[in-house]
Parts: sequence; C-alpha cells; structure tokens
Amino acid sequence: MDEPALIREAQRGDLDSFNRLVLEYQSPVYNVAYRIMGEADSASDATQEAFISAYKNIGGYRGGSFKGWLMRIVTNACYDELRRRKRRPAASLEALAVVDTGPDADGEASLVSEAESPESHAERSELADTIQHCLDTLPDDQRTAVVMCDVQGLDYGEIAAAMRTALGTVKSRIARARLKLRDCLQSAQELLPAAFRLGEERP
Amino acid sequence: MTLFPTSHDRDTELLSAYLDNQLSPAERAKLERRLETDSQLRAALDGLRYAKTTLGALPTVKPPRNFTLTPAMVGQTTRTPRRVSPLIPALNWATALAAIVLAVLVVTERSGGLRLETAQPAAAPEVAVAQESLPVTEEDGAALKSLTPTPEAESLAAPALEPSAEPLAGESGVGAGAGGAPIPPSGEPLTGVGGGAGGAGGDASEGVGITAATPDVLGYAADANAITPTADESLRVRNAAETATPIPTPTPTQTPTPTQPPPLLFAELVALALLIIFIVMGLILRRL
Repeated sequence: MDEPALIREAQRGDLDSFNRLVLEYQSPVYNVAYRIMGEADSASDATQEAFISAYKNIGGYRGGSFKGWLMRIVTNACYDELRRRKRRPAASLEALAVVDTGPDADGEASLVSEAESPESHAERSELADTIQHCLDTLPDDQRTAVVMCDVQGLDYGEIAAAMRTALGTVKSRIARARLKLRDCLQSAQELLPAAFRLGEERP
Repeated sequence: MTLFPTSHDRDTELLSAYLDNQLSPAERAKLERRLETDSQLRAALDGLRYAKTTLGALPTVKPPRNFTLTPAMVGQTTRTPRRVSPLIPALNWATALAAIVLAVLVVTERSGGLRLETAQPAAAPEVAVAQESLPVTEEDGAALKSLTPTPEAESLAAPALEPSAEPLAGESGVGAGAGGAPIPPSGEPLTGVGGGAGGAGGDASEGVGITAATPDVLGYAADANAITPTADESLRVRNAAETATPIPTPTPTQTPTPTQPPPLLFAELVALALLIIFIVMGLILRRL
C-alpha cells in the first residue's frame, strides 16, 4: 500500500483511496475505540464517526504518522461520546447493559479459532473481561493513553499528538494508569488465568 | 500487605518510561544503577511491567463490520463532478438563438402591421370608392369603363377574358351581333342574343354570355367586347393599361383588418416550435 499516494488522492476527494486507508487502519482504530468505550456498539459508532471526520478533514493532514492522526480523531470521537454519557446517565446505563451481554456479543468471539477448547476460550474471555474492567476504572485520559501505548503500540510522541497534549503529560498519564492497573489486577487475581496470576510462572 | 510497594510519582514515571524505552541514555544509566541497589524500586518495576504485559495480552477485537465510507455518508454529491451532457451548452445557445429569432420576427411583424395601419388612411378612400362601385349596374358601365384595370387586376382578369376573346376574334359576325343586340339590363344570359347571330356564333356568344352573366362582370365584359374585338386591339388595351396611372384597387392580400392582430407567420411558428423543443430537451437532459 502506497500510503502517501492514497492520502494525496483522498485529499483530492477520491473516496476509493480513502476507503483503502480505512480498510488498513479500521482494526486499530476500532480496538482503541472499543477499549476506551468498553463496548461494541459505542465503539462502532465512534469508529464510523472518526472515519467520516477524517475524510472531511483530511485536507488538514500535514504529514507525520497517519495512524497517530487517525487515533487522535477516534479519541476525540470517544471523548465526545463519553461527555454525552456523563450528561445523560441513562445512556451510560444502557451501555453497561450491553456490556453485560458478554464478550461474544462484542465481537471477541470472532477471535476464537475452531480448534480452541472451551476451557481456553473461557480463560481468554475472563482475562479480557478483567482487563477491560480495570481499564474502565481509569480516568478517560489515562485509559486512552495507556491503551494507545500498550494495546496499539504507539510511541509517546504519537500519543501526545493524538491527545494534543505535552509529552510529559503523556508520560505521567501512562505511569499512573499502569500503577492503578497493577493494583486492580492484583485485587482480581482469582479471576485471571493462572499464567497471569502473580506468583505464578509468567508465559 | 501489598505485593508491590508504592514508589514516588517521579520514580513511577521514570520506571514506566524505562519500560517504554523513552528515557535518555543518561537517565537510563542512572536508573539502572539505582535498580541494582534498590529492591523496592525493582519490585515497583516488576509491578508496572506486569500491568503493561497483561494489558498487551488483550486480544485484538475484530471489527464487527467494515467502516468504509459511502458518498452519502460524506455528502459527496457536491464533491463528485457531475457528468454534464455536452449537449446542454449547445442547447442553451440554440434556445437563446430561437428566442431572439422569434422576438425579431414578432417585432418585425408588429411594426409591419403598424405601417399598414398608418398607410391605411391614404388608400382607404379609394378602396371605399372602389368598394362602392362594386355593385355595378348598366348605368354605371361608363364609369366602370373609365377605370383602367391595374396590371395586377389585368393579370387576374386576362386569363378569364382572353380564352373567350380569341374565339370571338375569329368570328367576324359575332362582334356585329353582340354589338347590335342590346344588352339586357337584368343581365340575362346572352344565349338568346348569340342565337340571333347564327349557329357558328352561337357557341362563342354563349361563352361570352356565361362570363357576363353576373352584373358586376357584365360591364367589364361589355367593355372587353368593345375594346378587344381583335388580338391587335387587345394588345393596345394592354399597352394602354400599362401606360395608364395605376389606381390602387382592393386586393385580398391588401385588405387590412386593423382590429385583428397580425397572424403568426410560418417562420414565427417554426421559431416558436424550436424554442419549445429546445427548452424541453434542456430540461430533460438536466434531469438525467
């Protein structure tokens, strides 16, 4: 994929070129949205809004990490939705009800291979649920920063650009998020698979 | 009891950045020297690494669908260059041209009608006189004789008269018969008159009588009998008519009707039809 060429074509209004970029980046964008929002429907809405906004504003893209630029847009879309939820608590309760339907409804079942045993599938689901639960306890800015760093592998500079904040702020947010995650995971040892329990052999 | 002792915020940030390889070489070397001697710092580093490793173990969620955009999503109907038929500019010009031609024709027609109306008072008395003299009686025959037919009128009358005049020229007795017999004022058919002239002249005089059957033509027919007994004399009449001063006589085309608007000419109808066709075609092409 010639990313710069596709970006140039998209900046000229070529929707097909932009859609090739969408297909390339929709998985990391959706995963960030999913980890920030905590459930599939809101993550889908935020992802779609992010790509629409990206296409309409691609003329303002001035180089650098295109993935980081997309992450900033999807992060903003997620923040907008989270702010709306805070203004309307009923919507937040509905979202929680959707989360309670289980990981299968959120799409993680698609990751289960046919050869995976039911026990292994259950362990993976428990791990994902526990981590997501701990993520949900974090403040929005810390959750976003640590997801972009540890889940999507963005460096501090990309995260700072995405969150439109200083590099030192990103460093602080990630450190504090990891500290809280450590405490949360420590308190949920019995819910984690054996490989992820403290004092057990790490994989 | 906590498995990982809490450390200073500054140390936590240093340890977290150390895990992400975000420290400068000097900071990294200094921290590594501290880790060699500080067990609590090492335990804190293990706790942060555990969080980072566990979070990294999160399975990647497969997107439930593709998020590719459609033109409707981004309102791209205005961005996409709309295919415009190349006929539309030509139709625009053709429509404008047809409208101009139609306007010129209508204006010309109306101004021509005004000129007819303004010229009408000069010709009207003569037309009125001529119209009053149309119901010709035998007593008015002399006055009618003084009216020299216009070339146009002659051209109209000549074909009707000459076929009957030429046979008359060949029949010498007919002229005497016709001239000697008095013409009945009631305009009776002259067959009876011709009958008195002889069998040969009866056919010819019968033809004259048919053309002279109507009162208005009777005088003119009598005049024709008087002045065109031979072919030479008909030529002289024609020459005299050509040299005479033409008097306007009412013709069907010159009869103005000031109260009625001038009818549309054929060219105007064509221009109007083309204008309508071009407009409709333009609308259809723009809708496509």
